[in-house]
Amino acid sequence: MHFLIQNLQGQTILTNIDNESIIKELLLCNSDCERVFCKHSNSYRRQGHITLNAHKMFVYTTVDMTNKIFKYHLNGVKIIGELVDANVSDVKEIESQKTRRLKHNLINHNTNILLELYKLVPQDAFRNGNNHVETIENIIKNNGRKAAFTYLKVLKSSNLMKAEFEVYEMFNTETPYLDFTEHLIHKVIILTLNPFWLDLVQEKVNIIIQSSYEKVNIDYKSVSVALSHLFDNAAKYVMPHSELNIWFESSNEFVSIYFDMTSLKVEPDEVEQIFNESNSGKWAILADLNGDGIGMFFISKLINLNLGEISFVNNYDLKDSVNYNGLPYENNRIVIKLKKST
Amino acid sequence: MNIKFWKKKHEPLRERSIEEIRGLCKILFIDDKIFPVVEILKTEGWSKTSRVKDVDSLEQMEVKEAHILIVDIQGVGKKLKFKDEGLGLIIALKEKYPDKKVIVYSAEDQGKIQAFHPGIDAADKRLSKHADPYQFTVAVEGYAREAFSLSECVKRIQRQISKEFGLNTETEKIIANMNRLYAKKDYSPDNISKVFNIQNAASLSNIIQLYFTVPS
Repeated sequence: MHFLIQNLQGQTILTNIDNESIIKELLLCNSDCERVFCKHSNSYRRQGHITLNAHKMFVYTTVDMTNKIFKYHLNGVKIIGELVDANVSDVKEIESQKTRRLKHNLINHNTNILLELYKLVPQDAFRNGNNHVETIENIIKNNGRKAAFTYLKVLKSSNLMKAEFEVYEMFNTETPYLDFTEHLIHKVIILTLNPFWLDLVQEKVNIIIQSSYEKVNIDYKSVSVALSHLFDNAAKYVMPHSELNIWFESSNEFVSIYFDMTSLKVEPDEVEQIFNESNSGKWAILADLNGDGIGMFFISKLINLNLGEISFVNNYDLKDSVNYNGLPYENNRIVIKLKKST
Repeated sequence: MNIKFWKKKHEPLRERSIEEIRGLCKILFIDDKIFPVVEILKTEGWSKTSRVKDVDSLEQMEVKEAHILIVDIQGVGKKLKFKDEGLGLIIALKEKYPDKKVIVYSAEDQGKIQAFHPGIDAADKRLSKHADPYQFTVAVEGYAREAFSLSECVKRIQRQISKEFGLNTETEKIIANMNRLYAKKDYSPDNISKVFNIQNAASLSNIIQLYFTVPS
């Protein structure tokens, strides 16, 4: 039995017919069963056509059979068409879900970049036909501090955009390329924290980073993306006027990085789900801080790609929660373990 | 009269700081388009960083003098008519200058570049054109230290002697030998053989000559 499945736009999705002229003749068939002379096989053939939800199917055979048996076979082949129908819509839905989140986040970051730039240099600043470079130079000279803020905000949004692309690429490539190289962990932390420094400082968060000369063997790209999202989350959930304490511990095989901070309370029954996809805690939802970001799910996947581990410890010092602006905060800890460089 | 008394005494070799190494190491980008990392490296202190759009000859002065070559896959190697542009150029560069470090980079996604092309294998490292500039800095710093840091040079010599002759040589002994070579300013394989008391110093001389190509 030979078949051809077309979508409604006339594109061939699946076929086992390799003769172009038979395909041309078959596509003209509009009956569910007819007997025609086939010049290619110099004999009669039976052919038929059926329409599914999103596809058309064409079937033919040169085997001598009754109309009833042909229609029986046609019905059997129909199952393949239905499977294609279901499969295509599933794939479309999965793809659209993936790109929807990416598109949404990229549009947001891109808008933030443009708005920050226009906040510093208004769109109509060049209206009088002034030299663009001189105009911008003057604005920056007269608004040095504001320009520094703009730089940091643009840097942050650009980094987050890059992180979105990288995550999309990494998880949509069968074998992502990982470049394991030796890096000073302290340097990696400083570089990835830089774009989020302003957000934390604006929340009056005191950032303490212990010194370390430990080297880790990591793929910088994926670890920096994971850390960017960790700091983005930290800036969102940290309690204003508190401390973010980053310290290191070394064992034979791993370097552990501790991120201790007073952040929004995570209920004990939520801890296990914190690394699940699209999961947000009760208090995050209540404070309207839950977003469509990459989140802890991807952070954990990225760290695992580096043969590392990540864990979350809620209320690690068992102190009572602190209330700030009607929301409870506790001392929480994230620990990332990365392979030590040999 | 003691003649040695009048001999000019040389300062013993000392470790070069990373700031010194940055000023000594010559980095050449081969890219037909302006690539901002060239400027970024210069700003970071790698003052001898430059770019050429393509190379006319493997003997070209910039290529001969460079310690680290950073080659784009696309748009270069055309003048020398290499079949696979930059990848062909990399193979030729590595054949001619096996001791120079070659980094290959491309605008294409890392997972999609011709991972099994011999040009990729020939290169010492591959990077994405979209990689964080820090990744370029780390690679360059690693290779520059390997070539110009005294302690790294000593480690390489130790490894080479152990690999070739199965001998363990003390760090102090190697530094003393390096100082003897430096005092005479004779880095020929023959003199290296004599100073290190080994028969064939060809591979050692590559490491030592590279170390002394820049002023100490």
